[in-house]
Amino acid sequence: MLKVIRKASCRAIVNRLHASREGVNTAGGCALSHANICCGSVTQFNKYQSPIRHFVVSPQGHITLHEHVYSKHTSFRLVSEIRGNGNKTKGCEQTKGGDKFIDLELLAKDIIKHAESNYTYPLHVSASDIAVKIESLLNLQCDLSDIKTLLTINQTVLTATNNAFTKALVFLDKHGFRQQNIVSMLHHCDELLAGQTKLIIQCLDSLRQITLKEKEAIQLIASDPNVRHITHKDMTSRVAQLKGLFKTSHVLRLILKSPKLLYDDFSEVAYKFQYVIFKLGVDQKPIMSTKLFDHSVMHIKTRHEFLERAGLYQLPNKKGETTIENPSLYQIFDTSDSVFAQKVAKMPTADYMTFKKLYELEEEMREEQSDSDQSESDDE
Amino acid sequence: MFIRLLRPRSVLLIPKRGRVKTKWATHKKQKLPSLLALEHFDRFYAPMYDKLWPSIRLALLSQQKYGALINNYSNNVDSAVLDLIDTGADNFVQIAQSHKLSEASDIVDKIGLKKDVSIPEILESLQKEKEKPPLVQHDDGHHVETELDSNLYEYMPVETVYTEDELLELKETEENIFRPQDFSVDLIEDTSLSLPIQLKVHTFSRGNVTMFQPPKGDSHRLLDYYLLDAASTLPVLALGLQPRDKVLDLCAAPGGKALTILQTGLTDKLTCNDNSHSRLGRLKTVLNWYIPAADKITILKKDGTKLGHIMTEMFDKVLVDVPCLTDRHMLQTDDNNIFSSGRKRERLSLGDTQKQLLCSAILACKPGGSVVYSTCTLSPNQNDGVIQSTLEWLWENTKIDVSVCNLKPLADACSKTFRFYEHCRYGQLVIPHIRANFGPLYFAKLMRIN
Repeated sequence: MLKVIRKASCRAIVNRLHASREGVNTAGGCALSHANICCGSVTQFNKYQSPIRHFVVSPQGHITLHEHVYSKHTSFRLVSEIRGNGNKTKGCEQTKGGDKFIDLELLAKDIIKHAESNYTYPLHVSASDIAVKIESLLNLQCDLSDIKTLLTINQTVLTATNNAFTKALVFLDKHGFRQQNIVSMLHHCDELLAGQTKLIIQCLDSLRQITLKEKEAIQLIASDPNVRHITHKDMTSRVAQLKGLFKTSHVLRLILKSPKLLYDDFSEVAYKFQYVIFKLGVDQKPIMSTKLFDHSVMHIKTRHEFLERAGLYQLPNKKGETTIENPSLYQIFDTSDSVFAQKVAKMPTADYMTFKKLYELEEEMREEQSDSDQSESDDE
Repeated sequence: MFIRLLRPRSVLLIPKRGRVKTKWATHKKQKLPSLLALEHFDRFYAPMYDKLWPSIRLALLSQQKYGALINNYSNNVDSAVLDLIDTGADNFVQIAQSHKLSEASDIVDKIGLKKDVSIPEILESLQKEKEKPPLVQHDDGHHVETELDSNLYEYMPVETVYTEDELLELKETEENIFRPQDFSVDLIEDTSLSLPIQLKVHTFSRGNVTMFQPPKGDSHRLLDYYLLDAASTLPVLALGLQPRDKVLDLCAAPGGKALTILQTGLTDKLTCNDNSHSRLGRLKTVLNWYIPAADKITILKKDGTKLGHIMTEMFDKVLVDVPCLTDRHMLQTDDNNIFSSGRKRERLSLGDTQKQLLCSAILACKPGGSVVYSTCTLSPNQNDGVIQSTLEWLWENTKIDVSVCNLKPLADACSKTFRFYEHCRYGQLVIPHIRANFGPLYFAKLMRIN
């Protein structure tokens, strides 16, 4: 829900911000000439007191989130969100607690008991602390079952102080993370509870830089938090590399589908791409409808070899014709082993499992062969 | 000016079209013999094996499975057996022994009448389909004039003229289609069939893809086991060897089956024959590595097709492992591949050679003795087809009476290890399967009555 506003209104906003007491440290004239100011859509800039987010893009492409503009009002929001003062949170409580009242203390004790059974040592956490955590998460419209699993399996979240926890929550909410995304981020990003937010901010910046929409960027980082470790430089260069293989619009769709594309070894990505293009004789379009890059090279090779050896997949000729009807890429790569064997290849699952083992052996033998060949040629 | 025209350069400008051989198309890849083999199998086996074909094809193109034939002459037999059992490889002959051979299936008297073998109609249609439109079609009139003494009104123009290649192609189709005929043969229960106790062939269970370690030598430099396709011991089991039998292995090289015969410990005299010097060399090497004193073994280098006329009625048991398409091997190597274009005629004459070898084997066999015919191909014409045509030939041209032995009990006993094809007429066919990747191997047993 971001919009880019015009040059004129941009100037007006920055002027207003300058006029206000906080003062905004923007890149000044440069930022204005570039005219890429994004802001929260619902928010109106006149009502400056309401929570807003500003992103000013400088010509160098650096995006800064002006936190201090926001932080003045954080206390207000913090109270409203956590304690349920705001209208939104009140409604939330009604749906959660009105129909079916949840005893948070009891739930907290239950969670602690479950968590302690996972560890050999006792956890020194009080039920009331946990209750506060659950309540604040509930207020952010997180799913109760998600919260339960999070607190049970993740010791860091369970034992974190309420202060750190609240800070992390505020940070996430302020950057637009919602519901499951919050739970996912809390689970995977341990540094959040230690108050380190730099990585995530940088990552979001880079994702916006590669022209992902705000919602998409958040979705992406929440679905695969490993993305946050990629540096800005690596990310832009990877996107440029991918643009060599796919259309620009397709690249973004692919990244959203398989975030691994951003940090996997590029030679491996290219190998998968070339394998499918040359060995399966398809073009980029069918690749878009599969999660090809989520699978390992071995998986891709095994599935294809299995079908080809059984005579169920044929490399199309130059005109794209085959004598048999090939299964779709989705059927080949994205199905589970049993579905693939029984529905696609029409053979027992055990046959495919045996082939998998056999093919691994064959590959090993081939590698040994090529290694020994190489060493022989080196000797010469 | 005039002189200039006569310079050799002007001579070079004569249009050259049609004088030069067209360029080789570099974008068109030369088809490798192994690929040709695969195409051939797809064309002829797919309609035959129908739903089984994908799994057979998969297995043929994947790593084959081995069996370890224990060398009883080695000093380390016991330790080798224990080692193999430790790694999970069990003796399949022992497993088969626990399955009682006497529990035979219902006795079938006449093959042609009871066993319902329906050849897929697709094969018949395949031939029609392959009769391509003629390349050269003679118009009436043009060529007729040359034949002066023929009556114009009586002359029937040639409808189709085939090139030599096309004739070969037609012959290939002919050669590869097996037409079962209601030719009645006695099918007898083999009472002599018993599994030799001394023979130990260890294989890994179904789905286990572990590979065997290379065999080790003992104090006399004899290796402790021989790795071979476990299915190729089945023809030897089918021989039903009795103590003091005289045995002939008509096409012995490279020696896997000859070695299996020796490992049963039942033979008095084994005669090995092969017509190729280099292949006999391989046989000798194998025997040297596994047998301490090769005095029991007579090695001959004769033409197998004529051996039967020389050594008539001399042997109790004859094993004919004929040269065939060797499906698995042809898919893996391109060297010396029988599907290479230069060996087309040889390939097409295989059927005749096989028939002659089998006839020769029957002639070399004593009355009351038996002949086991085996191939390692799935081609029905080289399996049941050869048996059928040989039986027909014997029936028409000689007074030799031959009946076919029922090998179903043996197949049933080994069904835990191998996968058998159910629709064979005269013999048993092991078909490759990814979990039990042995074969293909066809074997049939004929008993000479008089």
